[in-house]
Amino acid sequence: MPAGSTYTPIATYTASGTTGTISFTSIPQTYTDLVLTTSAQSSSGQRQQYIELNADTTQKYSRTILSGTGSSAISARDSNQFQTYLDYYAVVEGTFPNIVTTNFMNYSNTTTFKTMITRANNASNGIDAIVHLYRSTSAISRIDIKLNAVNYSAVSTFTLYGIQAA
Amino acid sequence: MPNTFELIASSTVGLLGAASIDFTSIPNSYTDLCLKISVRSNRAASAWDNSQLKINNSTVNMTNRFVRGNGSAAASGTLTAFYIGDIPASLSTSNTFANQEIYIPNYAGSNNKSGSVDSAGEDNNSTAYLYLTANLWSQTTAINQLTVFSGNLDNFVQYSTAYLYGVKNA
Repeated sequence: MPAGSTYTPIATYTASGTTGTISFTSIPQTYTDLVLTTSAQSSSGQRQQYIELNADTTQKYSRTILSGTGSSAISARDSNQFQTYLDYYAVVEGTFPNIVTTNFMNYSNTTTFKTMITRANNASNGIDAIVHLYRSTSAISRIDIKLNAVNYSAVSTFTLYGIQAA
Repeated sequence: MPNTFELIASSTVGLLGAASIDFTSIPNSYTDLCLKISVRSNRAASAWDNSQLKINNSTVNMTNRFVRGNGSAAASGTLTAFYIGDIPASLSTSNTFANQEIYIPNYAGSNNKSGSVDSAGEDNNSTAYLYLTANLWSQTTAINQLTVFSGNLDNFVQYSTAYLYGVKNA
């Protein structure tokens, strides 16, 4: 008997060029973990992108960062934030795509705070490895990805996968 | 339900070793590519070699930025190559192989191609290497060939493996 799919696309979007927000809503609660993959360009210059979970913009987010700039390795922290940024040096560019992959472990449980791990890559600016904490025991049912101040260019793609443990 | 993380091809290096691991005629029917590698080099008189990637048999128009930890210090730098990471060679602890993963989204599209790489080589010695790497191939051509090779042009040893997966977003 063939095994069922354990890495399943939930939804995918290609940016229209007219928005700086991509929303994954009504995320099914039937998976074990989530993986969000973005390949993004901005409509104008270098921009940071961030996520809000469950449309929650209260100060429940924190993160710890390891970055390489090409000349130095850096670590930093942010606490009590209104959102959590997916990059530090590996920002979104206007001329080529950066790659960001974020793993949301055990996203549907209603017992623990939520931990995420991001890898962000920008070959011209830097590499980031980030661990995020969302201090809520709510299951994650919505992820909004936002670009600071400008729109995503129309070559940007965003896919949310569900991973089942069995 | 369709398989969305699918093995395209695999390669295991045999007794005589191999100068490279090559994936050709990659179908353009997936969204992203994921290449998982386990390699060791036969580079003589050295504990470490490195692995790099050719795309469509080319090493030009490539830029790289990395952060690296070796167990005692963190460093960051840039290269003009698709650098995967440092791999154990002949003087490293026996039977130890580097573990490397390359992710390339939208490989068949008409935009420049970015690659995310995580590479780990641990040998239970005083120095080992963990790399996080951002790579860019500034070409708009679709990717149809990937070749893993030794940066010092040595051979990969027997039992080195590489698995190429296609990922579909629908």
